[in-house]
Amino acid sequence: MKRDSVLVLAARGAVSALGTWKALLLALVFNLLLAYAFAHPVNAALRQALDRSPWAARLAAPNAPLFEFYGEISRARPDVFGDLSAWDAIATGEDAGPGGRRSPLSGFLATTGVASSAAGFAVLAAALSALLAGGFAGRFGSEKERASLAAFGADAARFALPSLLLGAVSLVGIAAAYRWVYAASGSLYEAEDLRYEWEAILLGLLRLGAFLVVAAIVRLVVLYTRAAMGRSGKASLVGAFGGALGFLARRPVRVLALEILFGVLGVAPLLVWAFLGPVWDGKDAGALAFIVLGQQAVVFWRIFARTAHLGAASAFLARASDAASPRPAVASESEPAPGSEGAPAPAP
Amino acid sequence: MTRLRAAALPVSLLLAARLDAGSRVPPVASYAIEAAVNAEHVVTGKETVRFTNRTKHVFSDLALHLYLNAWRNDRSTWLVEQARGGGRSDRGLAAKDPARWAYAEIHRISLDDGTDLTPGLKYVSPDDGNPDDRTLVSVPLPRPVAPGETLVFRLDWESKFPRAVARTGWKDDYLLGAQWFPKLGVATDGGWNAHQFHAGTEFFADFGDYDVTLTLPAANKGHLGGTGVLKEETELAGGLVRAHFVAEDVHDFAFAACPRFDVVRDTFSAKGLPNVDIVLLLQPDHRPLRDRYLKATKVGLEDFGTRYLPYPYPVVTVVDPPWGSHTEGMEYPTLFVGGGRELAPKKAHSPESVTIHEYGHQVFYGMLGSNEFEEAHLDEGFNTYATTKALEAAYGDPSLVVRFYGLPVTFAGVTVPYPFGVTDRFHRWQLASRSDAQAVPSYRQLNGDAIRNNAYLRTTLLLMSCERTFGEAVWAKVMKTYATRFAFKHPTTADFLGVVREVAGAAAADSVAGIVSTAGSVDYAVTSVGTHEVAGLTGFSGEGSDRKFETPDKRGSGTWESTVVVQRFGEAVWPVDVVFTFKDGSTLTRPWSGAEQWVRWTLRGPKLVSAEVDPARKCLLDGNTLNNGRRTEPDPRASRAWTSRFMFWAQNLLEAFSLLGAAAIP
Repeated sequence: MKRDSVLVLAARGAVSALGTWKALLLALVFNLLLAYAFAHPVNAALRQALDRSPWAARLAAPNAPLFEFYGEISRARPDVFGDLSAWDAIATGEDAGPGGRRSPLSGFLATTGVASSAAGFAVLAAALSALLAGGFAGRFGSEKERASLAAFGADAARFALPSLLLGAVSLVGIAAAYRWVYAASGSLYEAEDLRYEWEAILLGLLRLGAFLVVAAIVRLVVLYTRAAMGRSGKASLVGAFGGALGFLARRPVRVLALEILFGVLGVAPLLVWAFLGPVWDGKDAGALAFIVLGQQAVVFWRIFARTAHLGAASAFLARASDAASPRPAVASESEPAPGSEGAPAPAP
Repeated sequence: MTRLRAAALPVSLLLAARLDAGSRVPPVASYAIEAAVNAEHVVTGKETVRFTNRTKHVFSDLALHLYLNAWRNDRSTWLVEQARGGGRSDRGLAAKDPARWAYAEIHRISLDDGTDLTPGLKYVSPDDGNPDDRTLVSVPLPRPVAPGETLVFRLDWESKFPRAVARTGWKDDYLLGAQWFPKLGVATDGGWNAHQFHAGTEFFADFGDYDVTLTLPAANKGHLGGTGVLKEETELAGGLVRAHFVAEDVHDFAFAACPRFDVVRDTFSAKGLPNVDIVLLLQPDHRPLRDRYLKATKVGLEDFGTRYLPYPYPVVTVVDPPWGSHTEGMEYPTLFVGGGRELAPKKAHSPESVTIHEYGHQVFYGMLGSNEFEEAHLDEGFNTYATTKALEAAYGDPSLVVRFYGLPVTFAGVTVPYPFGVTDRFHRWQLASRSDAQAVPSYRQLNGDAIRNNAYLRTTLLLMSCERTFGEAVWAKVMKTYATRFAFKHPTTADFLGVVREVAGAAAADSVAGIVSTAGSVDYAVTSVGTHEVAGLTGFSGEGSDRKFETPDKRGSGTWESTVVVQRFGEAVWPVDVVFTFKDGSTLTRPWSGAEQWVRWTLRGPKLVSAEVDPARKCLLDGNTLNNGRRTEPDPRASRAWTSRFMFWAQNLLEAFSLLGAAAIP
């Protein structure tokens, strides 16, 4: 197997990520704290609504009336969830705005509850992950002290500014791709004027596919720029950005394959949990603890997969760099090898 | 433009004996129409109307609807109301394309003796005074029509169909011809009941017989259907086809044509019900839905035929509209428009739900013929109630189906039980609009939300609550009695309440009447529960030599005193049960009329665990059942379970957001 095959690179990325296990746990803790702050209004409302209500017993039943309960609580406490239609439209592509169209990406802040705060938390989570990614990139660029939290923190601080800048580029790039590739292309035709529904679905999927391709390019550019920055050890974006662009342009298939592989690795456990994960029946507190541990394992795995992707990118850059470098001993008998202090080369 | 050559109308047909024996209703307004529709969707028509005054009123004028003028320009009452959120959000008319707009004009109206009435014709706007609305005209008569008299008059008119909007018009090569000809209002003892066309309401017309000859482009030959029976199709010179329809005891005529229609024929037969031919006009891209359409139509025929009224006509035509036509889900006599998607998971119950619902209108709209301008609930609400029952009986509860970018995903394990869809939508809309009671004429209600909420959802939940509160058998009898007694008689809410009083009793009728006349909500809440153990006596007891000082037994008395307060937060009233659950597992049920603002119960016995209003959910109109019950002690298990779930998904959501900043797929 080639040293820069997709599987080898993925394995190297995974090994690199495992080497930073303390930082991965730190990332999980940050995620947990952020999620707690995000979910607190809902959790508090659930306690208020349920703890003294006969609904509690009903929801613990095997055939719990979930829809009824969600309907009840979202109506009785509209401040808790807020208007989720903007998120719904993004997730499903079924726009419920007047005439079936609304201004793209609008409606996220003009409401209450988690529907509104989710936008703020999205930016916060993106910024935090950008900062942490700087630390990970720095560790992957170094062969030593990968597990050191101190070194990780130093790297995160050193790369903080360019990392946040890259995060902003990523955020704006993906939002702009949605706005100008997916949404804008939808205004070029009236789906209901097409003769058949499949035409409308196909056009919609093509628009979505175009958006995803552009978003993937944005993501890859940012990812490899960050990895290049980490390898160079310099908090300079310009060189890293140019290098990443050139690198991606020469190896589009393998970087895409890596992206898909880590995408699948990241999403798979979530899907497995969603469909097969246990649900607490309200009886045994130990079972609840077990379930919460399982949930944290899933989230940890997803953070690990994301980080391993960065590790793989870093390894890919290193491998490419190695392959491009001349072999010092054979390159010239008369000139000193780099770093040899001018000592004459030994005779072959 | 193809113009129809004036043709002698078969007046003899109007006067002829009925095609089958046994008139269901004496005809009031019968029409003989000969019309041609050209490729630009312009209709040129002639009609002879035979109006028999079966009221006590003397009519000195005629009131005629020109519904297609709702889309003549943006000043019409329909479009003004739609712009302010009064109706359905159809698209298309904003386009600056004349082909998408519509009109209707009467060129000449005359009596059968030739007297020209056209000079007296004027547009009227009795509902809102809108001088730009042209959906209703008044034509003075040279001599009034006395009770028992018959007036025959003729019309020459021209109209144009819009790009389909509000369930009439064209899309590509498909045409649904509805509300397309000048049509009389309804003759009542108080004069004409005729309203302008409103965005949030539908129609009302007198029963009669229809003899309609349509000329259409020849491509439609063998691919069309209409109200009643298609007697013959004849190919004409010039690339045209003429279709002749006859319908009896109906109050409207609609047709559908599309060269792409697959015409599927089937027959319904069930014990105790008349056989009915089914004609399904199916879009070719919906062929996989063929059997589902047919089965749903048969479910409707059998269920509604058994519970309410047997279908009395020989044929029912089911139209499957094309994608994006804006004609889906509409009813006309003996013809209805369903609606299906190319990818239609079975567990979504679509097209089944719309098929059964639109079939159901054959009973409440078609045969009972209530006034949808003023009492839309008598059709839409009654039919939604009946549809829900039929669907649940035939198909069970649907699963959650979500479309992601047009592709349906069925969550088979997530059931959306009937009538959740109705209750949830009602209570959400109720939050937005509690402006009008059902008793307010539909067209005068605040906006589309108010009209729809009252017409469909509030009425459905009221009827379901009645069924659960007063008993299923009693309520089935109420519904059957109402349907059979008032078939072909244009019943009103008062007629229905009379049946409720007669069959279910005065208390039931008062409860129903109370809801119908109240705009507000139903909301009962347990606001306080307390329980404490009754302590033994502290102090002296007895007198004289029997006097002794007592202190309570530390073991406790074993008897608990519990106090429960239930309040009525809503304006509307419904009788409910209050159920007390005790620690030993026993329960106690106390019925409450629900009329007082609050009621307090003090109970002695075992320790109280909880008190709950209407735990069986008999009253589906209660907008907040979270406050219906209260425990004496908290039980955090459910909130913990759900908190853990929600936290997990919040974590994953945030991790997904991380990709925006970290730029790696999560």
